[in-house]
Amino acid sequence: MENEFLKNRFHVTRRHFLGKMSLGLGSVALGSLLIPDLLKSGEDGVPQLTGLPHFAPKAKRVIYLFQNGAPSQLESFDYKPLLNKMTGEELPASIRMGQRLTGMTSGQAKFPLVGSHFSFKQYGQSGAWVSELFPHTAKIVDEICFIKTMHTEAINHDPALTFMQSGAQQGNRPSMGSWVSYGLGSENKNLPAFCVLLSRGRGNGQGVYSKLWSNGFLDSVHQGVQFSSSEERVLYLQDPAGRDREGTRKMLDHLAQLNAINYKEFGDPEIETKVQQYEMAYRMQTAVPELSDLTHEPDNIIKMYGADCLSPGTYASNCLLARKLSESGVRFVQLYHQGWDQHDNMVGDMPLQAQDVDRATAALIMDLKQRGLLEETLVIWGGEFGRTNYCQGNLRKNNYGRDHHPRNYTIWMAGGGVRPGIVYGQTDDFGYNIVKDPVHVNDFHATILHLLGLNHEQLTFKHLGRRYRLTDVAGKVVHDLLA
Amino acid sequence: MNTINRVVFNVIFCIQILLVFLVFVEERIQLPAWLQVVGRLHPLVLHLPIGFLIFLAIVAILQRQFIGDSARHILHIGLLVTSLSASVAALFGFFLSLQDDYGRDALMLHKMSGVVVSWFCYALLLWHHNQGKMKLFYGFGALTLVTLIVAGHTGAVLTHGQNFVLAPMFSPPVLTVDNASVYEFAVQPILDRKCFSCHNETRAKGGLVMSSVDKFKEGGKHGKAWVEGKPEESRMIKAFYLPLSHDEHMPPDGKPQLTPVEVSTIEAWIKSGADFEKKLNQFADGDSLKFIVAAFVASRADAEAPIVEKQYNFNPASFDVVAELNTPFRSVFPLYQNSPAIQADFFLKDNFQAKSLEELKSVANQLVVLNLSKMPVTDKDLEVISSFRNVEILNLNFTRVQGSGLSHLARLENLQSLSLAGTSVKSNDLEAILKLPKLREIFIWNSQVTDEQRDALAKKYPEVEIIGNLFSDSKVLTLGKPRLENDGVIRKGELITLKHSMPGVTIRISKDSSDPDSVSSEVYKEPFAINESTVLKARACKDGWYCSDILEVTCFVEGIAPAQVELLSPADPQYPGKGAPGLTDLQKGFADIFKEPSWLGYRSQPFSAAFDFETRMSLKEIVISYGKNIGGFIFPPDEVEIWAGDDKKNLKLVKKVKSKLPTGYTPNGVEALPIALDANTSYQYYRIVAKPVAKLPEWHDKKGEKGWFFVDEIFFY
Amino acid sequence: MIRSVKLIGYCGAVLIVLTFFSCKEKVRTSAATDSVDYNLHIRPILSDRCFKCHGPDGNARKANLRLDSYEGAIAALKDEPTAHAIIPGDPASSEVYLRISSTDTSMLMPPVKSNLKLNENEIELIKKWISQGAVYKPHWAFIAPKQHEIPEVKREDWPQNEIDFFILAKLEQKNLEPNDIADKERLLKRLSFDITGLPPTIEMQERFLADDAENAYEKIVDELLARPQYGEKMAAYWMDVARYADSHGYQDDGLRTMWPWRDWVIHAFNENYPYDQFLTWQLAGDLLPNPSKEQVLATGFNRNHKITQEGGVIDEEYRIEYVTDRTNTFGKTFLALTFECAKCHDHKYDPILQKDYYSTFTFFNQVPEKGLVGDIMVASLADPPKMKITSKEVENILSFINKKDTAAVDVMIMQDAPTHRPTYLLKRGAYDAPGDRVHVGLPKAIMPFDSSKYGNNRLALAKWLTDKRNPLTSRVFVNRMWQEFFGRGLVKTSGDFGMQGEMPSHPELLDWLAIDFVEQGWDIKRLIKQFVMSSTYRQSTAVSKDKLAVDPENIFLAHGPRSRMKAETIRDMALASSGLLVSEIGGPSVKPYQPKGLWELATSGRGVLARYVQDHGDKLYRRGLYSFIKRTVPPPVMLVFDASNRDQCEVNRLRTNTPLQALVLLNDPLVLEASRVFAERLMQQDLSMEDKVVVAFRAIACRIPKDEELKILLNYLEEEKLKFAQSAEKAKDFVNAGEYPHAGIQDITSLAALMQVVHTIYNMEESITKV
Repeated sequence: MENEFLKNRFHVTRRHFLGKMSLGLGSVALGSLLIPDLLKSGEDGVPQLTGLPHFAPKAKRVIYLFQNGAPSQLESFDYKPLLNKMTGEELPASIRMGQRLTGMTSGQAKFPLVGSHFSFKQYGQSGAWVSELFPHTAKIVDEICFIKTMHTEAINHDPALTFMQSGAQQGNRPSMGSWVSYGLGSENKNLPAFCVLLSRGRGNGQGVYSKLWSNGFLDSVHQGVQFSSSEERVLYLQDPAGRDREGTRKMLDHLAQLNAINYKEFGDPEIETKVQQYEMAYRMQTAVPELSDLTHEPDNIIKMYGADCLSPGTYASNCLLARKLSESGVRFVQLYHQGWDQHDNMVGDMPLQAQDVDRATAALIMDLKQRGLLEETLVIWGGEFGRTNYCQGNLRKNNYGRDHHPRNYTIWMAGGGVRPGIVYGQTDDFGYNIVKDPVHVNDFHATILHLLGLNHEQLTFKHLGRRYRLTDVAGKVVHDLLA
Repeated sequence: MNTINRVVFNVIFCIQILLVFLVFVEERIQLPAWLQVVGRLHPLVLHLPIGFLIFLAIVAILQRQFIGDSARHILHIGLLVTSLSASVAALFGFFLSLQDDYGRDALMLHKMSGVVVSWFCYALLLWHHNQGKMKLFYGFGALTLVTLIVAGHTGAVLTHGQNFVLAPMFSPPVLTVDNASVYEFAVQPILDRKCFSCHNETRAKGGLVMSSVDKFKEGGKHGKAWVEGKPEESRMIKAFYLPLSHDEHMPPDGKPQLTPVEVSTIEAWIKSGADFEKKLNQFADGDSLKFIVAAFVASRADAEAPIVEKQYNFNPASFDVVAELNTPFRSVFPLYQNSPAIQADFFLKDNFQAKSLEELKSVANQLVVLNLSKMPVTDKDLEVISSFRNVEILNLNFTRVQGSGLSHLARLENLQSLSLAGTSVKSNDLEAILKLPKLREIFIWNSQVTDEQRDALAKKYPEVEIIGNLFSDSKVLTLGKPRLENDGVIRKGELITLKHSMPGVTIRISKDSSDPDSVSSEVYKEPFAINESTVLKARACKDGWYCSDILEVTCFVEGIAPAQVELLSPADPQYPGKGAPGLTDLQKGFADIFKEPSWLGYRSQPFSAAFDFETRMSLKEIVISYGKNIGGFIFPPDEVEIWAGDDKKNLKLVKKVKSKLPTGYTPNGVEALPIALDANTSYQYYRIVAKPVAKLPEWHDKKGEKGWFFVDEIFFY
Repeated sequence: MIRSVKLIGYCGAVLIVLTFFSCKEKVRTSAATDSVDYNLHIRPILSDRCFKCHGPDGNARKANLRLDSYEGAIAALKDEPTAHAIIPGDPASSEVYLRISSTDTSMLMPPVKSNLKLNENEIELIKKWISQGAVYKPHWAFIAPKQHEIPEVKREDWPQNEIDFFILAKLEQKNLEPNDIADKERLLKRLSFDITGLPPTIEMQERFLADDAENAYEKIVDELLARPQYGEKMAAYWMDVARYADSHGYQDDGLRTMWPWRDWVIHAFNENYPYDQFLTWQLAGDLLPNPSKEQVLATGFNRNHKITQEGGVIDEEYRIEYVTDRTNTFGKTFLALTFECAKCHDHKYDPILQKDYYSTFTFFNQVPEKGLVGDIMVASLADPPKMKITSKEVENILSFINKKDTAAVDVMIMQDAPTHRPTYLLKRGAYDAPGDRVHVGLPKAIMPFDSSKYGNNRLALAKWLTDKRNPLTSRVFVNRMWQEFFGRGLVKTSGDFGMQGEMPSHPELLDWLAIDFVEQGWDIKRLIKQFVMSSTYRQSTAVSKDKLAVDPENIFLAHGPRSRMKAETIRDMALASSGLLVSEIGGPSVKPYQPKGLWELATSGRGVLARYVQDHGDKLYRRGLYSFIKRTVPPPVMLVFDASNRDQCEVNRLRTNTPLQALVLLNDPLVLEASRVFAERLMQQDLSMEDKVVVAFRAIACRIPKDEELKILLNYLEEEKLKFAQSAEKAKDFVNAGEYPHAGIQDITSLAALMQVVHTIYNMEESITKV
């Protein structure tokens, strides 16, 4: 299995090495001992060491709280009082500057600006603005680094989501988590290195697709493993009714004997690997249930995440599970929470969505911190693009909606070597364009990899003649975000 | 004597061979730590052959003064030691040469001359041993001396630098802001680093030579490199500002680029007239150049500093040792590529033994991060840990550590971060560790340390961050609903199972569609059986929490299966479902997809189906499972008739019910319409007729239109 | 003491000799001495490390230097007119050599920043090549295959047909011995799975074992080729290529009905349509003179791509996306070229200009289609252009379509709009950045496209492809088939015959097969028979330590191919061996068992596919080919076993070996059900327990168990009996697996124990491996 990195690295080398030893009689053998080329294996002769960071990592693990559907930056963290003053007035063309529109608003004759229905206050030493919808997030702003100037190229959910996750709008590229698994290998060999948790809020949902956690052209050990909300957390993990652990153990032992006979005859190394895979599967069967059992959490933890955290499949319970997975050495935990697509019912939906995620998100940060894990765990919160500063459809008296807006949106990161308590980048007073420090999706990826000790230009995989990167052909590490 | 003689001879022989071999494969060699050490002994041994050789030279010159052939013996022994020491020195030197990158050529020269010296000495030895021609022998000896001098000198150059010997006689003036021209001081160094490699006399790209002032002034084949006073018009500056991808951009993509400071320095210099002589103090105080140069002096140091890794002074552990330590339950790996520092993580507490910790002693030196979170580690084990002197980060969260053993950890001088969350350590156990010089942070959430004690410690040890409980909330929260484990139709003998993931909750239920309360309602103790379709309600309660909202589910229970079913009125062609068999196949439909085959849809005509039980059957209840989707016009049946009899041809109406229709928009669902029958009567044939709502009610958007009736299953009890 | 020291000394001496020797050895193998070949040695290096900046792509070219052509390489350098990148015969003054061998990082090429390096050996090669005159040759794949002599071999008794001569010649050249012929049982298993994707029945095994006739093997080959399951097996592969799916893809991912097209593919293979016809109908069936319904149906190939139903997308953006997909799929499927790389800029490695890309694009840009026909609420099962297939047509002309209900079914097909849609080069590949107008055409380097000869629509494209002089079409297909039967293509990168692709391991054989294939009328069944009749194919798969050391990838085929079965095949194996398989062919896709909640969790909540409504009865036991594929959530077991997610054209699946795969085989209800049903059937047969186990073993592993194997299994059986005897409850739960009706076996204990043994046999590595 490729990402049992130490194993393959050392084994390969040891074999070669012994090979040489055979002629390494006598004093001069010492000489051959000193020849690393003999010990190296790697594509086109360039020695390669997969499964380890390129340089000292700040973050060892990632928890990505993806807010699927694109939460409005204007109702959450990007405070634009001007919009409240100008509500109802037309978006000046000088601001829009030919930004393309989705099919939903392209037919629209007017683009009435609309301010946030929800009030903002400043919090923490950083004085970051947070809307009333996120009271718990407000308490931890000094742990957080807000990026107000994310911008993307896609304007519809599917391509935008795919872009955020794989660095390309189209095509079957590996997901960020797969890249990390490929680059760092798994820390805990009894668990997948890349886990995926899904939940749905009460707002308008847009769906997720398993291609988002696909290993693309990488080895499928890097495929995101989806944790379900049912008793059986990982597909096919449970022993069948009527066969207990010992039963399975017995079965594996007999299998091993049978396979051994075959190996004697055919000598195909794959046979041995297969046996190891069965052993690891067996260990997963104990490791995973132990982990996903949330009932043994202390009471104040449950209070912290909220009562929901005990109902499987909720965002809160996924946050709690994410912490446990991460704590046990899972490199990349990817959450998706649906329902942020507020095209017409901002006033109704937004509070519900916020209520579902706010408490648990803040709890996750505090929980990690009080265990001393926040420093080595990078937590990311955000969606695939932003929302327009003008109303989609006609502006109603007590409700409004916002369309997709790729030019700027806000996400935040915490822990894992990110500079805490800062607000990075600046958008114009209309919340429509970036005026300072833009962060492109590629830069975002480059920065995350950098925090993990990976050089985004060196983390490549050659497929059909081309060396692919998560950051494709662009991407700059945003050093100002690093602690 | 003779033996020793032979032995030494052979040893020298081997070393010589090894040398040859190594020189051969030099490019590919990489030294293990211990050989690096050996290499560093080179300076120690190298002086021996020098001494001996000179001594021998003297002996050779004065040999007439010696009695008999004692000179020969002295020479022989002398040569023996010389050759031996020379070989050793050469070998060590060779190892040393692989460690630092000394100036290539100088090194080459030294290495070669060194090796040659050792060969010559060996040759001399053999020569002398086999009584070769003496004249030549001396000549050769002389030659050896010369090479020795060369080797010695080049060696000195390596260690002390070029013209170390004569340096004191003429030292070049050190450039300072006062004595040097701005060009020499600030500009040239930049060009030197970033431009000269391609623009020098030997290879003048674009015909531009920058390394010589005169040629630089002339410019390249595209003209002058700058326009005095006009940076914006200067080719150079323009080239700097072109996008990296652009072909004219300088320095070209892939070469070390200029930093902003460097660019602005050169700009400022050109702006100020690109003067090569003018010194900084000759500029007016207001001149921007002054500041920039000043800034430059400061920034010069950290100009594009690479990622600086923490340097460890211990050697890496061997691959094999590390590989050996890796098991499914213990990951041991370097912190990053080529780092000597090692991290060890433990997993699956059931597989943890004290010895799996002991075994780490083979990397005791390299171990920097140790993660024992959740492992059954006791205070006793901490003693083992205390022998890992370089540990910086130690995670003992949720271990069995009580605190008494923490004193052991006081020996970990390098400890920076210690996690004790979820352990039962007490405040006074901590004192010992908090004194540690490098300790920055310690985590004691969920331990025996109270918040007051924490604050006290924090006051006492301000330099250490002591992180305890970060969350306190007295608000009472509402519990989540219980879960029904069963799904689909409840088969005969199947028990109803309710679950709640919060330990210690009480689940209260009602089967009569009344709302269960937190005191009087029936308490759910264990899975129970129900024998007919029921609306089940349940809520969870626990002290310190508000009771959960009510879970309401309709449980459809398998009933008596009729022998034959016949549809008397076909379903709407859009929603044919599986036809008659679908009504009793125990496959339930979903409230959100009415297109799927468990559903039969009726609109223009009533639903009518006949059921044959083969023998007379007394039924006490019939339950119709119907779909409800108000928005989609899907309503409960307006009216249901039950016909029964023993003659298929003529059945009589035994029951007629009007169902109560919804009075507003309600959530979609699959609901049960129970119709009680007289249990004392029994018939073979039953017919059920259900009429869809003829006109949607007033409150509905589409009032007056025809409603739909959807049925997926019919149960008989 | 002395002796030891002496010994050391001598070993030393020996070793030195060795080193000298081994160096020579190294040099020889690395081919730095004798003639260096551009295609074989140099181009791979240049292409991989240099062409990105000094290759075909004019815009990305640095220092105006191109190394992909002789002229470019010897021209004077822009900055140093006195210097030249390459001076044939004189590496010492060729900038290329100086730069790659430079120690000065500012001089070094490739630049440090590129993270690309050349190792000594490669530098050495290039030096040699330059000193030998820096001879450039055109890329092998772009030269039409030429007739090669059948090579001489020493062991004349071994070869069965031409293939073997080529293979053996290479083996002898490498001093490798081919394996002996595999034992009959294993041979039959390999053959049966390769041709029909199903295990041989015990009856067939016995027949074959008993048959000592000369042509026993050939008879079996013909028998298998004649089976309708052959079509299914071949179709399974083509589904990946054609990115077939039962849903539209993209976020809402509604239902579509393309399955009649799948029925056609099965039909086409079973009818053994010649490849040129197979290809022409799919690319341009609609443009043939008065096309039949069948020919039009075939064009569904180009409508299998994803189609969005996301409200509010920009129509043109997606229409362009569809045409792009067709163009890329065309490039990869029929030419094994990475066309997609030329969408935004000239190809960085291959001679495909951005202009060429959009010229090819033009062929597929004529469809009267929209980017968004209607969002998920409208839920169209087939966007126009489409055809309606009625029951009547199925009865008469399209009898191969397995249509269940009476309602007519719509299928998406290709069509050219009456008015030609002008096509423009799209700058940066952006739909809203049109550049110059382009006209139909194809990359010249492959084979000039003469529209006066072929015409200027998709039919012309097909003609160009099937033109005898086309260097790729035949090679590419033959290589794909080879890959399916020998585990690894003659060209390993079966999806990339370009500069960055690997060189053929047996160039002559590839050419020979390609030419032969065309000359024999593109006859696919014949090609396959050719493969399986060869000694090369029939070898045993046993691999000795030294063969593993010399040729770990089995490039030279010194032993038979041994590889894990594909996702679908594993399912089929379980179903067929247990007797559960429903052998019905074609029809709409089915929804077998799937863990709860997968679709429900991922869906946007809209459309009929929001929920997974599992099928029951026969539909649970159809072949993997028919499992319903919802693009956003493909069947999990398939993904675990490296199946394509059908997002885009895929020509070669990975073959990984992961713990999740183990979990599936251990706990997937299907495998458990198969074990149960098989066990029940065995219990019903009047056989000794031992014989029951033997039968199971033969049905699953397709051979008679060895004594030791049988012993292990029988002991296990006894242990399990005891265990289950102690807890009847467990036994009852265990044998409860699956919906298939129970046979009502009384002796639950024995049944459970036997079921456990059968399940163990299913989990043997050999059982899911082509041996």
